[in-house]
Amino acid sequence: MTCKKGTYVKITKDFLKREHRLNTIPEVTSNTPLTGWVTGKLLKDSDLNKKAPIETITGRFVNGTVIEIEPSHSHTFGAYVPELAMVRETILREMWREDDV
Amino acid sequence: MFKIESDFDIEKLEKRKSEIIKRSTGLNYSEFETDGIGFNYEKMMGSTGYTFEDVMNIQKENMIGTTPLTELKNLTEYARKFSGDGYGAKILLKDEAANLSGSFKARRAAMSVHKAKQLGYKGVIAATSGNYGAAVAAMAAKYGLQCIIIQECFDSKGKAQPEILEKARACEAYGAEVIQLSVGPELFYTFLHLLDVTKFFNASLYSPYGILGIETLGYEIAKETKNEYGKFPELVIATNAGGGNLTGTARGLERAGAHNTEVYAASVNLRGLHMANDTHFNKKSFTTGHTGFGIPFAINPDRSDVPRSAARVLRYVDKYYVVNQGSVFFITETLAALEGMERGPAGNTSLAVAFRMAQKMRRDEIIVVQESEYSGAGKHHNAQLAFAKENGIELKFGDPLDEVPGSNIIFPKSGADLLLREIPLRHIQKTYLKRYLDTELKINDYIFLEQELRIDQDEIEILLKEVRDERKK
Repeated sequence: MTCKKGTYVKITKDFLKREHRLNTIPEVTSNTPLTGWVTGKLLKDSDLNKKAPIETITGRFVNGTVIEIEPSHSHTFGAYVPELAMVRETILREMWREDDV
Repeated sequence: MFKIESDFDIEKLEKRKSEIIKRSTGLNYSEFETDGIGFNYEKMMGSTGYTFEDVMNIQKENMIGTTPLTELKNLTEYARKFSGDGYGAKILLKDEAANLSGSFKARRAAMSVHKAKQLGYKGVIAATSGNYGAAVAAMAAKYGLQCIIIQECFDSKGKAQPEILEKARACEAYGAEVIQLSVGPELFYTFLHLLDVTKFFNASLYSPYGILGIETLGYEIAKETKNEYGKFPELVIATNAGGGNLTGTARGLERAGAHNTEVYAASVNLRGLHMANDTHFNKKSFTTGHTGFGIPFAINPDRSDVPRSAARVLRYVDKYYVVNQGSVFFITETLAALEGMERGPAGNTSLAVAFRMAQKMRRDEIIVVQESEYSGAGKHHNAQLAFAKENGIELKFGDPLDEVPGSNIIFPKSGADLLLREIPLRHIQKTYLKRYLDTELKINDYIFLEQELRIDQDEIEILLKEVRDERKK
């Protein structure tokens, strides 16, 4: 057991199986389950990829598979986009240096 | 000991929907229903228990509203380079990023969460992948309420839209529980289920509380423009998705007496991308402010999470323009490069439309872009363009009207090439009327439709006839 009771984790579970999805949605979507991701504290010792119950910050008790231990946020401003630099050059040239155009 | 929450069943929830909505909104929507197809919209809007002064006071004490109305002098000057002599209207921006939580959505959240507190609910729930989640979470933090935000976030491969990840982070920063889902409209049933098990308040975007909260925005725009420039603006442009932004703003303008100010809707064109399609989900670069919400909600406002939506665009809109993704990114970059303001990008949809409209309006006329939103990691335009490239979207320069959503993003080669497409209101009105083709409409139905569509009975009959003829073909 690498993960003690009380550890903050992210779990995943299927909220709806494929066969229970609405029949009005595109097949490419209904061929997959409706999956959810929730975070909270482990209610018992567990491990990555194991099923375990958690308590969420609002006090709900949810079962799911542990997929991340102490999850954090790491989204960024993205890689350099040369096209965006070209957009900027256009704007600055047209605005301030129109005589050169 | 603890009791694990049970799974939900769509059929069972569907049967109990009206009971759950009634308990979770504090509103009995059946009170607003009238004979026939319609309902009493103004009665519903008057059912909040708040005066307009109450709204202003609640917002003020929560660091919401009275945001700066700033003249974008450089951006206006840039537009004038492409307009004829005497043309190039002034563009003003209401910097709504200055609100608590960084967007105009705080105005809506303030009223919903205040109502939840007043009615004694222990917590609030909202189904939103956007700024509204952060706004509700921030207000819940202020009022000491619990908060759950449900997001549509990942495709089935577990890949998320970066701007939605950023909203999740913001919600958690304000103490909310965030539930992230894969693609699909069954999010609504997850929402109903959670309302049911938690007994929390439904902080719907479409309740009268939420729309009343935006009326202050239109009101401020009218009053502040008049104070500074001696007249009401000729035009106000609102980025349109679910319709609340435009509806509330237009109602606020009217409240301030700006009856002649035109109100235009602006949406990003995502034609061809299906909102419930798992593979289309990460092919788009805008998760709100786009036609995938804007058009269906205009045509059928009551497809929302309450029985009767308070957001009803066709009652207020004068013209509807769509703009491509590349042009909104172009104008977002312009705002940073010429005005030193990093905002958006989705909130800048109306700014892109304003930039073009300004070129066709006289220099002494005034256009107000009625919102901005905070920018940051994930939701920055660079982040979204980098994400688009990762997902195989081609970035290029050319005619923005040639853009194919999901395949490419086309930037205008010059400010002169930022072009728009108008969606004639008549088309939207016709589609709205389609569901009544087989209904025998009575006089009170026509009165309701006249209010909904702002056209008279004769015109409604002409449109219905056209739709019938098209169906025969």
